[in-house]
Amino acid sequence: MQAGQIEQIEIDLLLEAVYRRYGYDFRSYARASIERRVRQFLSRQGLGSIMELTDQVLHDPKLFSSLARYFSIAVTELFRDPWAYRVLREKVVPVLQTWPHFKVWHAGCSSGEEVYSLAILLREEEVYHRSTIYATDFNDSVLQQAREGIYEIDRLKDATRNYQGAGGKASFSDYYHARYGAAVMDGSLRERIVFSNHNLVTDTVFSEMHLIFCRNVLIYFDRGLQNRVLKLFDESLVNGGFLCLGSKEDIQFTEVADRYEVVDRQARIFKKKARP
Amino acid sequence: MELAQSDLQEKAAELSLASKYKSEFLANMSHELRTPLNSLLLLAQALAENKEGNLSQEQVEFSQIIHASGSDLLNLINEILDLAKIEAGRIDLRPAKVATEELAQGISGFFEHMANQKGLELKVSVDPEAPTELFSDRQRIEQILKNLVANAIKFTDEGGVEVIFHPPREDMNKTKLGMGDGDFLAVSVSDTGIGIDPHEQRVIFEAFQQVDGSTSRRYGGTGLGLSISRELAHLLGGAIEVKSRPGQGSTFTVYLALSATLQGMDPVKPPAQARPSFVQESSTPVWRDSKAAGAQAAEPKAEIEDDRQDISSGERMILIVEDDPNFARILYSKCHAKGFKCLAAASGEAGLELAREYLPDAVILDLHLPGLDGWSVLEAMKEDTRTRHIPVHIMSVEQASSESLRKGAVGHATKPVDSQELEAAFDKLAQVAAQGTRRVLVVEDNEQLRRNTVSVIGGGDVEVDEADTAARAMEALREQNYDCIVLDLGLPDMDGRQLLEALQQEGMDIPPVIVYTARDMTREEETALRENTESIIIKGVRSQERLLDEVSLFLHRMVSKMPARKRQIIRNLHDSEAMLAGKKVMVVDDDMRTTFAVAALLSELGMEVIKANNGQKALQLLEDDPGVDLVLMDIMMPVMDGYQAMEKIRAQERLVDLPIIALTAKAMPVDREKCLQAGANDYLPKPVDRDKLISMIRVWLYR
Ligand SMILES: C[S@@+](CC[C@H](N)C(=O)[O-])C[C@H]1O[C@@H](n2cnc3c(N)ncnc32)[C@H](O)[C@@H]1O
Repeated sequence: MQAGQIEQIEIDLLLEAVYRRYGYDFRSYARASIERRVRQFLSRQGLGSIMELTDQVLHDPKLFSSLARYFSIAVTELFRDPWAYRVLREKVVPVLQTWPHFKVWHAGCSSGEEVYSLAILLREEEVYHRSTIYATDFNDSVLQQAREGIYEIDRLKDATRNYQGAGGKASFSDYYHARYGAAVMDGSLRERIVFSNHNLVTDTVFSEMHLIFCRNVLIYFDRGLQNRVLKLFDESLVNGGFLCLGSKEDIQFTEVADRYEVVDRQARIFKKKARP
Repeated sequence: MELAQSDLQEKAAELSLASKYKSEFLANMSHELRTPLNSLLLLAQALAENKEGNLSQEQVEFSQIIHASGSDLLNLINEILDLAKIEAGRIDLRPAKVATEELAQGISGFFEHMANQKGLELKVSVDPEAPTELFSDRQRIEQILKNLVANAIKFTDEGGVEVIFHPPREDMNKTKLGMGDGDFLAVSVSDTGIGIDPHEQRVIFEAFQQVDGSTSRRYGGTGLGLSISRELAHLLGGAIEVKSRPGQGSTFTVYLALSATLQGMDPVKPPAQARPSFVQESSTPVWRDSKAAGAQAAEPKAEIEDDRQDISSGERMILIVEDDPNFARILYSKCHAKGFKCLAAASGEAGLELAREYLPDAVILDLHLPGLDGWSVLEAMKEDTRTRHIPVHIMSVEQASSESLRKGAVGHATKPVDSQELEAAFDKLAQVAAQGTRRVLVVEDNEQLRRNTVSVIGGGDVEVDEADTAARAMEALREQNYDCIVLDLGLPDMDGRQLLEALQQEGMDIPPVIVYTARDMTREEETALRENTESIIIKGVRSQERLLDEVSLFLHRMVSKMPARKRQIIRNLHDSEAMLAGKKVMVVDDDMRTTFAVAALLSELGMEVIKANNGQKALQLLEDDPGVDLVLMDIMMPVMDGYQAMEKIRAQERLVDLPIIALTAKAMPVDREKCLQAGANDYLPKPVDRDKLISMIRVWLYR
């Protein structure tokens, strides 16, 4: 048997151990990425073999959380892909406005930048008061950051530029307070946001949604898991509801593709077709 | 001096005009090229399917080759257009933060399968020293990387392909590569393939500049990929270099500026290095030819023969408006295969005339037509009361967008269409054409608004009646069966809600109701109203569109004979269920779908249901109403979530024993544990299973 095949077995065992011990299921994550991250984690921790890692992870919850963080890249930014927000403003918000109240779900919200960005947009379009926003992630530590809404001040330059690129109507500084080298997002933006832990691999539908954001999360999943998650979204969305994916993700060639029409391909915004 | 300056300006203006013409020319040209390809691809595909089973194995293979070559040609056309756009500076960069790991992930996800199928190993790795993110245009970077990796896989038969994201090596020669200052991320794509001769390494990037025409075929994929990649790399403030020895594989390295803003924000500026531009070099001869071709295309082509001499009454027919006689022929035989007679027109005017004269069952419409274009034909058909109900399907080289649906088409296929798309289009037309007339009642007191609504939803197979008061509406409903009601809330004689109640009291079978109102409403009002209406639409800029969607949804539902809402479910209550009758359950959930479904089920069992849409409301209701026997508690809710609510309930002496069942979307054992800790007696996973819910309620009420 080749070394590569043995490594495969070791990784299978590691993922199985993580699942049985902690309930986090990475077995259907995109394999190549998991392999790469495991190798990097080994060298960073100075561990000799995957089996050694498996052994330690089984007994050390702290090591598990840093491994889990390694598996799920949490990069995000305020008004990431500004053009997508522009499309939201122009093509999606006017439709959201036709519901007396509407719900938004940020699935895999990471540290919350995306959630605050959309909240700002909804406020500027004067529909924030009609919204309920769910921000979920399976990683409690990023979720805590999201709840706090405190970001490094040196990231605000990019954020301001993005905000303008997204068609922002005010001055971006209206939305945060700078303190001790950090920026705190304005508390009123949080009024209608519910932060909650939700794992897309194991958990189910929890409410009817009008707009679902799931950006840059599906890329880490294998095809089967992507389909499962897209179906979960499909069950959650109302007829005519919107799905917004990351710039590398698409519903083309997935099992739900024919139930959606493209609102804007580049912004990866899709609309669920009305169907009985 | 001044003279010289104005001279210069003039020259510059001329130049930019010339480049604009070139781009436009290329865009038009690519449309012109796609038209014949459309028929070619379709017919080759049809032959390859060998439906009649009369072709030899070899003939089927030939047809497949024709199809494959045609597809290659189509790709090439797209690439030419791409390159022309870049060279003309007509490409806009969209810089944003890009994570290196995400790029790596994208590449391995995209190519893993392809490499495995060829028996190659694909290794993608990120050097720990590599910059972790950059500010650049993700899509363009990916376009470059995909091109390089695809080539590497293509030209390697044994061994593997390795992609490494790393910091630039010490020996990187910025000046030679024509790169600016700043920091870079390098991505190397190495293969163990055939390699490239040193003297050929220079030319593989030059579009149409290869010394030997075969070079491009051997090294360049469809030919222009490498040229495009190099241009893009320059635009992003970077470069591409190649190191290779024949027989030992090649390594292409892309350098990407960590901040692509400088070049990116000013894409029109030509990259520093002087390079031959293929547009300039090769345009002259092609230019003349194609002008002639363009002129030709504008002349109306001869119409193909159709069935107009041969239609007896009652026969179904489709009108084809298409100026490409070859594609028209294909559609013609498809009509016959589908049991339709066929009419054909090669211009917009002729098409419109035929539509008005013959009133066909459906229309297939091209957009680029000599004279009156497709959009105008569609518009004219929709304005004419005799033709507005006829379903129209667009087939055009123009990209499909929701525009076409908004203008009234039932579908839009982009050429070249393949046989599945063709099939789907015919099915759609047949389906729409088969639906009979539907009837909708619009209840609205403002005449202007009413007319508006009627014009949005009315027409053709939808007949609309109007009522300006509640009394008139009731009258109409007593006389006629409607498939759907569109109801404004503020009526002069009676509020919309009262109207619904009155109808219910009369025992009338009320069709689906869509509330169409300008009023804002509170969540409570919304919940109450949703009890007996299907949906609520608030008027606004985009509300007509949603109205149309929802109305067609209900009209369609009637066709599929969904059970009417009124259908009584006759159930034999088991003894154990009978004991549930009269008990009061509070459902706490902000998801209306769940509350309604649960409420409907429990009412069926004779239970009384009260609702709260968050924890705080639930506490209030419990205070006001001491008679609650059991609580169903959702967890993820705004204002106060389920955990908090349960803790607060348990903190009250008189409520410690109140049975609470948590409804949760969370599946982990720890999450369920959390529910119990917060005070739930038990939990049920969402979506709620009806039988489990009933048996669980029974358990907790029996105690
Ligand atoms: C790259 S971030 C995306 C953040 C943000 N949506 C954006 O596009 O900027 C990916 C996030 O997905 C989360 N994630 C990964 N797997 C998940 C799962 N199974 N359930 C819920 N969240 C998950 C990670 O914790 C991480 O915060």
